[in-house]
Amino acid sequence: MESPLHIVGTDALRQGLAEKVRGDARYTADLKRPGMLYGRILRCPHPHARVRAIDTAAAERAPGVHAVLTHHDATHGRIDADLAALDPELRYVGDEVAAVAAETPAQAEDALALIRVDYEVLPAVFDAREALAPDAPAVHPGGNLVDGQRVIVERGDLARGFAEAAQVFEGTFRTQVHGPVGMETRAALAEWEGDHVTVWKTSRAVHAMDRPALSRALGIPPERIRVICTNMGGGFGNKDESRLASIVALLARKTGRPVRIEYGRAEEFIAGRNRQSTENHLRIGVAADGAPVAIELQSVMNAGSYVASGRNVTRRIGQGPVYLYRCPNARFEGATAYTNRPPGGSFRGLGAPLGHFALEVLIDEIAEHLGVDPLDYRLRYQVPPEGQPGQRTTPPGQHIPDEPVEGGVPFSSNGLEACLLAGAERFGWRERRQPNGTATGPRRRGLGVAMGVYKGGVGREAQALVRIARDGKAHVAVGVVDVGQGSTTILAQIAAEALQMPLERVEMTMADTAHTPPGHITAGSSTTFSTGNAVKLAAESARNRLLEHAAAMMGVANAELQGDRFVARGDEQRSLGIGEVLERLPEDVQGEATLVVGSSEVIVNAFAAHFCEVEVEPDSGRIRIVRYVAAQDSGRIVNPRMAVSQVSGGVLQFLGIALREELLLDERSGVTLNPSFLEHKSTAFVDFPPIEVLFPAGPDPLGPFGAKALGEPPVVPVFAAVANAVANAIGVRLHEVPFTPKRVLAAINAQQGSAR
Amino acid sequence: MKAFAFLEPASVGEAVTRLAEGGSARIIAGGSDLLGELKEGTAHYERLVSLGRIGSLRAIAPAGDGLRIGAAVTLAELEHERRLAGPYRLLAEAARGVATPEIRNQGTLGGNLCQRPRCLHYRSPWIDCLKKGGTDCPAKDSEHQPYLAVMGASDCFAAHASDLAPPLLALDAAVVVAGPAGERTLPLAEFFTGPERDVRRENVLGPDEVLTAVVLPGRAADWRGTYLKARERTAGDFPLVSVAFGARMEGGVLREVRLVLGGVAPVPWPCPQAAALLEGQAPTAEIAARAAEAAFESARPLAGSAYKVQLGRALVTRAIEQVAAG
Repeated sequence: MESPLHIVGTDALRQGLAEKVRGDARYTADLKRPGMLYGRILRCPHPHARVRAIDTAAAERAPGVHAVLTHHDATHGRIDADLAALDPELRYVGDEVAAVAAETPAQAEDALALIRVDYEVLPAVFDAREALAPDAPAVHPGGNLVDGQRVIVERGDLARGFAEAAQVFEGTFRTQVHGPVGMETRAALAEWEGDHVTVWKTSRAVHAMDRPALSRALGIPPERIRVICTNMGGGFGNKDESRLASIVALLARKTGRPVRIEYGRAEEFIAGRNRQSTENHLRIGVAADGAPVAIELQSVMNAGSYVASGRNVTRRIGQGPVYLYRCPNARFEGATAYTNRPPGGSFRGLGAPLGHFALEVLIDEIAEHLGVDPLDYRLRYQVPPEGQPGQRTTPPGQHIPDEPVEGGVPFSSNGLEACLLAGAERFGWRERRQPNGTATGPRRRGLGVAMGVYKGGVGREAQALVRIARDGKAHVAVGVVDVGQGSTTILAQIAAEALQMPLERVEMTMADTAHTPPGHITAGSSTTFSTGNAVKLAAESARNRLLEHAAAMMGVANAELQGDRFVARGDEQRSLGIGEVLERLPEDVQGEATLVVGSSEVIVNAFAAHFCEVEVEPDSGRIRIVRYVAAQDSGRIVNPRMAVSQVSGGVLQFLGIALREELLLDERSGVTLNPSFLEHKSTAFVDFPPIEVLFPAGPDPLGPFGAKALGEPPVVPVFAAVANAVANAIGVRLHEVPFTPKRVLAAINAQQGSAR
Repeated sequence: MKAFAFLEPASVGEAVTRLAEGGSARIIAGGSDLLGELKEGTAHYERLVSLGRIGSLRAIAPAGDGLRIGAAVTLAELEHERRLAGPYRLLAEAARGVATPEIRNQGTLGGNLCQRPRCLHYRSPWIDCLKKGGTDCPAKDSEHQPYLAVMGASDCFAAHASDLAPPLLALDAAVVVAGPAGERTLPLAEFFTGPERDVRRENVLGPDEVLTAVVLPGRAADWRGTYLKARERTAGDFPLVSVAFGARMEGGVLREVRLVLGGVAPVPWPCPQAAALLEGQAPTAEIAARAAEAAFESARPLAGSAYKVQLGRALVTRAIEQVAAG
């Protein structure tokens, strides 16, 4: 039997909270080193060009300037297959051309204007479909299809499924460019000591990404590179690339001084990694009884000029369409196209919110057409705990992918139905929902529902080190980065629970390659599940060693911890206080764990069901979110208060994108038109709706103390929940995010036009 | 941002002298618009002449039947000004709809009237345009045109973004301008100019002139106005379209009708024909719809901004309904 939990499941205060509230928490851009110089980056004014010649003489002579870095200085190796620290070929408006290090930021800024660049302007392409055409200008030497191939995954026999279908529904769904808009912009600081370099940077993976990338870019072995990430002001799946850090390290090497660069907000919007635009064509065939029998999604993703996470972003568009509904035949095909837009990358949820948008809106249309309540349709055809029909294709003994395709494999746990039922009850779905388009008046209310499925947190190699010191403190070292989501606190709670120690005695060390074992990237909502399992195992191992020491000190075979005393098993009279045992330890007690977290028997996924109420003005196209209920299956919740913040924050972030946020590109020049908080319509305080968060599902058998992924799953159903609520309010279907007044009015006009 | 000299004259006369000293100079009051331009590199001036030390520009005083409001009165002060009641209420309402509380603490009445357009292409440091001395409008073929004009524009399509100009025009306000030759007063309607006169300016203010005050004439005590503003974000956003509408109800019909649009033309856009249509009429839904049509009769929107006409008509109809309902 499971013993009761004391620390996991409580609202422990977020670690470092007081420092953040006081403004004492130090972020990368707050760091200073003696003699530090400030860097600035010269950016390309053309969408596609080649540097014929670059004259830095005047800039080098400018007051305070110590060095100008160009592609001639960045010759060691590439950061990614498609990316060099500085490259003579420039692929978007804003691409890095050169960098200056000077005594003050203003001197560096002024010197940029003195660099003379002779550009050979090359033909550019901005549209993904045009980029994939045979005669399109090549953004990269290998052609514009990223990795030279499409992502194709399938289950069953799609053609047979459509042949058997009584009806086929289809739609084309578009999404625009989404900026993650972390409050903190990218920053990096580098300092050399001899042939060793220390780099502080905004990061998601000091071990897994930064160190190897810097090793390539600087031409030195990883052992001579230390990477540290202090506090992060928002990761959101972003800040994983190492270009800025490479430039800073090269500048520091050239000047012999520490150098720091912090992006401005416009740079962050343009040169930070955004989720680029997609076009998704979805077809669903249903049998006479309404059951899905064939689902096919074809997607084209605009990757922009560089794409750190490559086809992974595209692959995840298929996650929902391929797996959210029980269906024997499913297929996803996705192309990722290089264009001369700003670089793409990963952003919370990768492609999943986009694929779910298409899926959950079209499912709503199907339910409406069939005359079935959309909640009932979902309750009837959601993927069940036993998974999809069909035969397992993963060979026995191998880990099951957490972006599954095959049938015949059950889930470790699946709380989708619990989420639908609990959410609907809290929301008052049964009592309040009226048929689509029956509301009247100048302001029309509507209710919508959408579901989501996402990775559950497995599939990464995780390591942890737990050391119990003689002063009674437990030191936990993990290489992962807390990107602001609170993993420091969550992992400390897991360690304290496993150690049976008070939380205050656990001290965390993270995100420093010199003082932590290798850690995976903070991505795929995996930290709690993967590193959490490693921490739990390492803590249990340390605790067992401590028990062995205690037993040995008492001269018995086994001991157990009861309150603050070690008690000999079988002889309650013999005991030692914790303090006594710790004092007499010959050395610190250590436990460690390395594991590739996963299962060869089950799929580990997280689930969500969201309910949205909107008010729509049909004459102005304005949508207001009135109320939102998010029910999440993330297994056992380690810290309910932080989990509620995580979910409501994710919902809010994607409500902003659903309604108004997008980065606009001028198609003639390739210029990003709105790289500021004025023109990029990030959500303002007055637009916060009430968001209620529910966790109705139980613990997962494989997660640490039953926990599953929580970081990204809350963002997955949001677009569709809003779109379905709008359809309920005004009877109009929205197929393009964001739902600005312009698009809403266009959709209303199109429907009225077709009705005439 | 390039370096500039910052001058703080103590009087309007000294400010005018400073402006006339040659080289490029610009007045700075709250700076909430200008500093953005300087930082982004869309504009540069050798000298900034601050109005911050000229106390007389922050006064609000009775003037005949009306009020004289100094140009450096902040938007926050307007928002909370008790004398902006009754017929003047819509001005306070419009001030409250500008930007955010922080910016309203800083931004001024004069600055709001003299602000530069929000056209995304004009604001981009990467793109040349007519307003910046270029030879072509890069915005007219773009699909991203939230801040472009739908009427009254040719060559340059940048719309005027002021939130205070439409209500002030509805109140028949005048402006006081000081220059080397002394003070002159002109109707606010004559203050704004479109690109056909000078594409690089939005008003008649000379390079050595200072807008010093706005004068509100008296207005019947039962005249009521409203200011409606369509925007993408509820706070901190510029108007896609805005409507200032006001009238007096007399025996069930509308009198002294004023209708002015914002965000739809290179200048704030009075609609005298639409107002005349409503004059002496009972405010029915039918006549409101006709007035909304009339207000946008001369609309010739570009493809990417056509929705603003629909949005604007909806706003006009609503504004009429609101005022009629009291």
